[in-house]
Amino acid sequence: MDKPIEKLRAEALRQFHVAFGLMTIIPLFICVYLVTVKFFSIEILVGINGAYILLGIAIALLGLLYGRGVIRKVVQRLVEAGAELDKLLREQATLIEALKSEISDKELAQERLKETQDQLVRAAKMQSVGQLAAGTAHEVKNPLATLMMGLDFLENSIKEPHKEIQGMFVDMRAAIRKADGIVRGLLDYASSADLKVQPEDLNAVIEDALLLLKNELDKYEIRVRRDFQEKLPPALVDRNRMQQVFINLITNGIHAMPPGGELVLRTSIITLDRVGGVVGRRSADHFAVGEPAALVQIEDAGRGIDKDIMDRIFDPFFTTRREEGGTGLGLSVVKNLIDMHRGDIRIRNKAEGGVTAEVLLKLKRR
Amino acid sequence: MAKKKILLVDDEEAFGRMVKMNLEKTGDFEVRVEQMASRSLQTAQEFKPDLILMDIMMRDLAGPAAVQQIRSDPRFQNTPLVYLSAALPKKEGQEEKDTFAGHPYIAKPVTAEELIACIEKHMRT
Repeated sequence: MDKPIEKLRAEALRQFHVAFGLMTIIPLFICVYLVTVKFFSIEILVGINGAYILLGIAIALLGLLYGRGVIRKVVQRLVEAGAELDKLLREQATLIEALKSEISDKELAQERLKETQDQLVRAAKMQSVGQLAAGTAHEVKNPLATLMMGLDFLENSIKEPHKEIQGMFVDMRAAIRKADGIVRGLLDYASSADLKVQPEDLNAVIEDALLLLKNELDKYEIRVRRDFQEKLPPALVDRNRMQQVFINLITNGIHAMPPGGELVLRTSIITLDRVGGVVGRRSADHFAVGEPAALVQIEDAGRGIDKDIMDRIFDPFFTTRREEGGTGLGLSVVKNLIDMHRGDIRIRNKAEGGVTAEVLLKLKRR
Repeated sequence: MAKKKILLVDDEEAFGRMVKMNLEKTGDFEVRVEQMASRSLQTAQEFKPDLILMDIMMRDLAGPAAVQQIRSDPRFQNTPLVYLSAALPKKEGQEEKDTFAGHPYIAKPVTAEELIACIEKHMRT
C-alpha cells in the first residue's frame, strides 16, 4: 500500500516543483527579453519584475504551504484508506475462517446424522429380522416339541426294545435337541436389536456366568483362576447378553481342554494408544485413540486353534465339534453381540499353548 | 391314589395329544387339553385341575390374558400354573427362579420326563 502512495507523493511534489520552476523562470526570461528589446525602461521593469517576483514568491510560498497541507491530507487519507482496507481484508479473512469452521461443523453434524440414520436403518432391519427370527423360531419349536413328545411315547410303548431301536431313539432325541439348538442360536443372532446397555461391573457378570456353568465346570473338573482388577470401573453392556458372551467363551474354553485343566479369567483396564482394528480417529471406529477400555481375557490350556481354520472361527455354522453336537453358532453370535456393543473380540493362540479370547468393551460414551 | 388332574391350554392339536398320551401312560395323571384359550376358565371350572400348563402364543387369546381370566375365579387363585411355550428362552444353566409373567415356565421342546419332573416339582409347592 505504501509504494503507490509514495509514488503519488513523489510525483505530486515533482509536478509542483516543475510548476514552481516554470512560474519563476519563464517570466524571468520574458522580462530579460523585454528589457533587451527596450519594451520597458529598466526601472519600471525592475519595479514590475520585483513586484512580480515578490508576488510569485508569495504565491509560490502559499502554494507550497497549501499544497503540502493538501498533499499531506491526501497522503493521510490514502494511508487511512489503506489501513481501512487492511482491516477489511483481515475481517474478511476472519469471516472466511468462521465460515470454514461452520462448514466443517456442519459436515461433521451431517456425518453424525448419516451415521445415526444408518444405525436406525440397521436397527429397524435387525428388529424386523429379529421379529422374523422369533416368529420362525416359535413355529419350528412347536413341531419339535411334538416330535419330542412322540418319541417319548414310542419309547415308553416298546417293552423290550432292540439295541438298534434304543440307539435310534437316542439319535432322534439328539437330532431334535440339535435342531432346537440351531433355532436358538439363530434367534440369539437375530435378536440383538433390543440391546439395553447400562454400566455394569464385569467382574460380577463373569461370576454369574461361572455360577451358571458350575455343573459343566465340575463335570470336567476345570480349575478356575481369577485375575480380576479390583474395583473395576463399570463397562457399558447389556448384562444378559454379555453374560451370554462369557458363557459361550468359557464353555469353549472348557471343551478345549482335557479334564482337570485350568481356565484363567482376567479383567483389567487398558489404554488403546495405537491405531488399528477398531481403534481409530474416524467416527465409525469403535474406540478413539487414547481411549481407555475394559479388557476381559479368557484363557484355556488346550491345543490351540489350527492356523488354517483361524480365519473361519467366527463364521456362522463353523464348528470343530460337530460330533459332540456343536452347532457352530456360538462364536458368530458372540462376535455379533460384541459388535452391537461397539467392542472388539480377538481370539489367538498363546505362545505357551492354549487359546486366549480377548474382549474389549467400552467404558464411557464417545 | 387319585390321579392328578392336569389342564393343558395349547392350540397346537398334535402337541396337546402327545402330552396327554405321555402323561396318562404313567397312570398318575388325568389330562384335559383345551385348544381355545378363551375357554380356559370354563374348562377349569368343569375340570377342576390340580395344575395348569399354559402356552403363551395362541391364536384366539394370549397365555397371560387367559391366566388373568382363570385367576379371577377365587377357586383357582392358588392353583399351580406353569407356562409351557416355544416362545421362551431356554438358557444354559437355567436358574430355578426363572419366571415369566410371575409364573414358573418350561421351554419347548421338552421330553416327557422333564415335563413330569416339572409338574411334580410345582405340585409339591
